Amino acid sequence: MSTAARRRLMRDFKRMQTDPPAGVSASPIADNVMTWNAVIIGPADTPFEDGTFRLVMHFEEAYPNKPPGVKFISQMFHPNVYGTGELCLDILQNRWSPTYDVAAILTSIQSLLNDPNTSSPANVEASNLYKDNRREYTKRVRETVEKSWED
Amino acid sequence: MDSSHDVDDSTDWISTSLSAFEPLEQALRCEICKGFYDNPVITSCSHTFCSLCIRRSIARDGKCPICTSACQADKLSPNIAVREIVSKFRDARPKALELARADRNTAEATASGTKRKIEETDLEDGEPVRLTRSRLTRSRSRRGDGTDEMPVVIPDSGDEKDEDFMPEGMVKCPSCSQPMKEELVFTHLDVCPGPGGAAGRHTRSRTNNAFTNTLQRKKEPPPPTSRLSGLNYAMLTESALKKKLKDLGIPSIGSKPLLVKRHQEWLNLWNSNCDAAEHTRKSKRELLRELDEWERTQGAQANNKESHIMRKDFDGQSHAVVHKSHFDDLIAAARKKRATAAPKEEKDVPEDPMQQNQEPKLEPQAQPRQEPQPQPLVDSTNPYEGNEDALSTIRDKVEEANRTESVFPPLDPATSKANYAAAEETQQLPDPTGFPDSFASPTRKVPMFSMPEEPVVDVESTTVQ
Repeated sequence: MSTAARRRLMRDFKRMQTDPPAGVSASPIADNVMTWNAVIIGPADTPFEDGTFRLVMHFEEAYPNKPPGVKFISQMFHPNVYGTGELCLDILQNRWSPTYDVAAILTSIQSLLNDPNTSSPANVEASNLYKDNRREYTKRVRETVEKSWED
Repeated sequence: MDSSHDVDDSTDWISTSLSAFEPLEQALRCEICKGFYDNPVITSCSHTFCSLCIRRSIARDGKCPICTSACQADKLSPNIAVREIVSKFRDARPKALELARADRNTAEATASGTKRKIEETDLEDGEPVRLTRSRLTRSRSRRGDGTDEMPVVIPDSGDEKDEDFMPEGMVKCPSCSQPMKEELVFTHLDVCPGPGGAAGRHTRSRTNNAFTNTLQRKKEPPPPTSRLSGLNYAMLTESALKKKLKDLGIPSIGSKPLLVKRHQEWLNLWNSNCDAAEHTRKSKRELLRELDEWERTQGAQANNKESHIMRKDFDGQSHAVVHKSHFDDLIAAARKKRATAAPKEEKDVPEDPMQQNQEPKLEPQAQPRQEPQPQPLVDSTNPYEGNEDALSTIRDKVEEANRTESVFPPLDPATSKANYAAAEETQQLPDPTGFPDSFASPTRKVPMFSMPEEPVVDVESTTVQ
């Protein structure tokens, strides 16, 4: 059975292989094209530099009209990531557009890492440190970066 | 072409000698499904999409997915020119891609054989050769990681009916069920041996399932082109809605929300079929089959339970452990891509509408990490603080040091900064906390009020000579 969602996901996959964005990578798990594993490398010149952050993405048959569920499974310290790993990112909620694909989602998350939105924090502690004590924030982020290498 | 999932994509051109075709083909693809435009329609905001794609999208949020302006399904009209272009381009594509790939290969062979010659270059075709070569570096690195022409094969949990999957642009003959290009169906029908005749020639081992055959045996006239209009669902009772669905000849089981969703999907399927060119229109039975597929995946028979992955108690740790080798591969791939893609990043960033100012934002953040906040020096003796005379003496000395030490670029900011710093050390300049902002380049402050005219004169006099 090949539905619109599955066909589209195959295209997303092909694009991730033939024209991959820098520092991100993703592919479907072995037995289900609707579930993907992904990795984002922390962008250079940021506290997240060189972190290897793992994510899972889950797509529904309504994709791309409905955004996928995306969550970090690496431990994160970021104003817009909940303790459960879920993200608070507008384009994955109310600003979703069916023109986005896996590459666009991952590059958005990658740029969110260094460009947090502190107006509606998912992690209040991270948000406050980001605003008031950047040194401590950086230190806490570096801890998660180091942890991401051990996973 | 077999039914493996080797999807075509505009990125196929990247590693060929016709890389300029990548954006061209991109322009012929729908932004929603990323496939070639299928029954393209244009919105009131002048964006083009596949009819079915945009109808489904509008049914969900009523907005254009590109510019987010309000969109109505009944304002869509077929974009016939684009339909023609896509159709002709797709006819030309396989041969063109084959040639472009072959050309790349020969160019690659030539390039490695006569590298010296190309570098020394003869003017007449120097430019094209260079272009090809820069592309080659990329394609070579691509091939290195083995992703280049590997067919993408993914076992799919819901794949049991995959025989019915048709590659894009291919359709089954309604009579003998043989797969063929869409455009060829009508010429073929004139000589079609019918359902029996096909069995002998059928390349696939399976015999088509009875369901499809009975459906397709009779050649039906395409449905009339009158589009169905939407209903005001809020004003309809469940039983009234059921009756509407029955009248349309579609299933009427389920709760009201499901009836609404089904009716919407039927409208999408029906109306997008009306946007198709007359000779490619589907029969109502085919549309019903598509509705049935929807029913199985998103309708009454859909498995609607929430994915365990998105549940709060999902155990990410053990997922990471189970998929460790997968993640390790992904990390290797991401690092590799990062290394190879880094130089072209500058070019790529503006193309992505969602990478909002990532680059500029990096700067201010990087600063505090690498150069932690300066600790105020505990030097309690500030002999020069507030002593303008002493300060200006020192500044003059610094200027002098600048001038005497390096005559040639006397105003090179880096040099003068270094000199200033050196002078600062040796001459015990005032504590940096004495300045409003210790990072605000003291060298720049100095010229503002006390830089003598001489250096400028010096420059002029040297250039005049």
